Amino acid sequence: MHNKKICTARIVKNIEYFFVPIFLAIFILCILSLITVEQNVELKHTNNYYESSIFTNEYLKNLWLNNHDVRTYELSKNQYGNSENIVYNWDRNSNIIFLIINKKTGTAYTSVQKTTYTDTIDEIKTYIGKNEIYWNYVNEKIDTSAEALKEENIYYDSNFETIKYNKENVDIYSAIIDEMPYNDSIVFTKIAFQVCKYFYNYSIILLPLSMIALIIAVISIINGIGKTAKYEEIHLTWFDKWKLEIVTFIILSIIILSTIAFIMCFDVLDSILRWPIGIIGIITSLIFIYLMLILLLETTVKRIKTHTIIKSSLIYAVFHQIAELVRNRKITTKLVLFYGSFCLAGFICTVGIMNSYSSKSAFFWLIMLIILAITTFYLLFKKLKEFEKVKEALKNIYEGNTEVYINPNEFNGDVKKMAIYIDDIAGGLSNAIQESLKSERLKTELITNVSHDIKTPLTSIINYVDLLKKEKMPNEKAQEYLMVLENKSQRLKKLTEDLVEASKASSGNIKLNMEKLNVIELVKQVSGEFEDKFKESKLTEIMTVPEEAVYIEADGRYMYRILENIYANTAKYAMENTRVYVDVKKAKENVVINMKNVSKDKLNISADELMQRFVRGEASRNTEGSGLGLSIATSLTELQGGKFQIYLDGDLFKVTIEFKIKD
Amino acid sequence: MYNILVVDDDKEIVNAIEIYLSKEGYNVLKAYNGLEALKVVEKNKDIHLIILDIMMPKLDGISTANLIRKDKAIPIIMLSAKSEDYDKIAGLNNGADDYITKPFNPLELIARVNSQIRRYTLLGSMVENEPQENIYRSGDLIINDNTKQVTVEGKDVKLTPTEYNILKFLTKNKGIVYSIEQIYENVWEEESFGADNIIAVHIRHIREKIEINPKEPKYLKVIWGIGYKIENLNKN
Repeated sequence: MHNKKICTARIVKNIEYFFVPIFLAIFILCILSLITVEQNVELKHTNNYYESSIFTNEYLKNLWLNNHDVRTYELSKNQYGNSENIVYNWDRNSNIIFLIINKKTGTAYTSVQKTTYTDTIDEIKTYIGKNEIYWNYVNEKIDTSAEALKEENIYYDSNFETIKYNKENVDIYSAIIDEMPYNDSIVFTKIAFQVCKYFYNYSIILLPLSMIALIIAVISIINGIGKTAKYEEIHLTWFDKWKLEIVTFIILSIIILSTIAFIMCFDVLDSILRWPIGIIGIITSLIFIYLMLILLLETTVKRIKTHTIIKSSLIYAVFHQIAELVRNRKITTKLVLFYGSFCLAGFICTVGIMNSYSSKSAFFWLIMLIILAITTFYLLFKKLKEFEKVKEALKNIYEGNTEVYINPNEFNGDVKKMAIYIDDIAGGLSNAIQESLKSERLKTELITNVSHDIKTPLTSIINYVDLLKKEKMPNEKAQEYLMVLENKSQRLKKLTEDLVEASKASSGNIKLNMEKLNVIELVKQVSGEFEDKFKESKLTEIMTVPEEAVYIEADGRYMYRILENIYANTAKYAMENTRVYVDVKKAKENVVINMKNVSKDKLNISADELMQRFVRGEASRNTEGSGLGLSIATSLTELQGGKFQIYLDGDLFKVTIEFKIKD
Repeated sequence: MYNILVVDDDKEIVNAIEIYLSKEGYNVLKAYNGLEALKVVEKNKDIHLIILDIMMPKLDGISTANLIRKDKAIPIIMLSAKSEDYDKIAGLNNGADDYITKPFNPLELIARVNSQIRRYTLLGSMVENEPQENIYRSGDLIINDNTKQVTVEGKDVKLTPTEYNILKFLTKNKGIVYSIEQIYENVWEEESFGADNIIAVHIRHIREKIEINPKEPKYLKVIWGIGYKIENLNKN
């Protein structure tokens, strides 16, 4: 199916190649006939060849040639023949038959063949007169249908001097043989006249038609070039890989040679023996020219289509070699080369100014110097701009933004190399971050799923422990054990919930709903929620907040989770009967929430460790909680663009949360 | 005697729930997957409540709820280990009236079951009264300022005068969020000053009294960092 299609395309393409010369010929003929006819007023109005002056001229030219021959012959003989002296077989391969009678000598010269019917002068006269187009020079009577050969139409000029001169001495009878057996100039001009008139008459239709057809055919040829059944893409042959200039030179040489051959063949056409050779020569040379043009077109179009036209040129190759020589040098070498050429050009210009004899040439050199200065500045400026771009990209990467889009094709030379490296690094970083985000997400998913699976049995445990509590226990110990079971199952519940949250918060797998919040309102709200728990732990809260509202942009629910974790932490781990200080302070652009309390137990780990997942103060191991609280708070604060810090100083435990103030 | 259908693929959980509900005086029907649940609903015409797990073999809870909802108005409480917000939203959007996450507090479960049953059987048929003077309400929270009485889902709630005033103010202006300062100025009718959490403490106390689960309030919502409001609920 596919092959068939290509085959059809192939045939169509060949037809186009065949049609192009035809359309071209029609087009050229139209143009030529238009020009010819428009320049010759007479041609415009005459439709009959024999009525046109072209015919008259041709006729007389031929006649004159014959007459000239006769005269030359006569002069060479210089004889006085008898009255019935007839010289036959004057042959110039002409369609004109004639009878020239030298009145002085009485000798008649004729191109008529000698037969029994043309024995005497009178018989020859009759024979000549039988033809349709006949001209009698004796009484200048035209015995013919050709109106053009009227006396007044005959144009005597220097070429026809002989005829004029001979008027007294010579009688001329002539005619064109009806059958026109010879390919003489009369026949040619007749054909040319007819063709010219034909194309002129139809040029209104033929000219635009042939032009459109020609354009379509050429476009279709250009379109079809390079499409073959064998290869999917455009296939370049060895010929297409030659340097363009060489190919063009060879083809143009062949075309010029063919044209010379063509012109030479034209000259041969006159001769009766050699004209077929001439025709063959003309056609062959035309075909040759055409083929060469097609070849040039094909290779050029193929090169354009495969974008190799510039690369396959000789000039490009030379420049490329030079550029290649410079390219792999050190950047300092390049600078030296650049600076050197700049200095040299500047020097030449300066010398030019100094050696100028006229203001004109001085002005020229001055202009050159200015152009040099501007060009140099432009080149330096462009380079520096590229450096600036590279710097921007590097800054982006440095700031942790891996979504750097740097297009190395915008740059040149060494900066291009830098851009490629940066692009590579950014891509690698971006990939690494994507990978780690993906693995974090997978981890979160895994933890979420596992927690679902844990929750179901846990539900049974909690419920049955609760039910058991309502049953009568055999003794105190059983009651005690039951309490342990209840505590631990509750803790397990909290642990699973915190685990999911911590994993989500640390992987950033949370959808934030940012709002404008009042920090003071928030702190008071949370404080209210923990009032009873603080009371239980015998803690006194001392709150210091600014009088006016302080706004930040954050997600209220997660802000609550952060503060809840800190408050819960304090309620759990602060020493009983102490004060807990909560301060909200404005510090320049930020608002700082501080919470200080004294730890119940000795804190023997660092603040950093405390914020890690699953780490708690050593002695606090047995209290409820998962140990994830601070880790969750840290992650959530950072997700919302805040800062979360813990300071430990002896038993003093201090948490600082910092957010940017939103006006 | 109300009939409650409990559906969960974990038999122990179904049994535990049965024990709790039986103690409350409910009759419990059991099913262990969605298809069984549909069959039970088909057979028994007078089921008053369904407790439905989500992750079950054969037919999951969401699909089951959808199928039941096609021709039945029985209240459905979803009970699932899935605790994400979007799980809850999916459940509530697919025919559930309430959503409880596992592991659950038995007391909360019972409270919610009671609430749904009350809503379905008693309050559901109540003809809506014309809005009366000095009576403020949001859903099933009703404040009668004439008698100074507060009822939630038909139950009387005892509040201190301060708590009552705060709740009355918020209910009167339900749907609007008020900051601590605004509440103070409106209830005490004097300018607020100083840094204390007294309003926040009162609000927590009110929540503990009127809500089934104070951590996930239905009526008195906390908008963290902005203030408090009484949710503007439709009158069922």
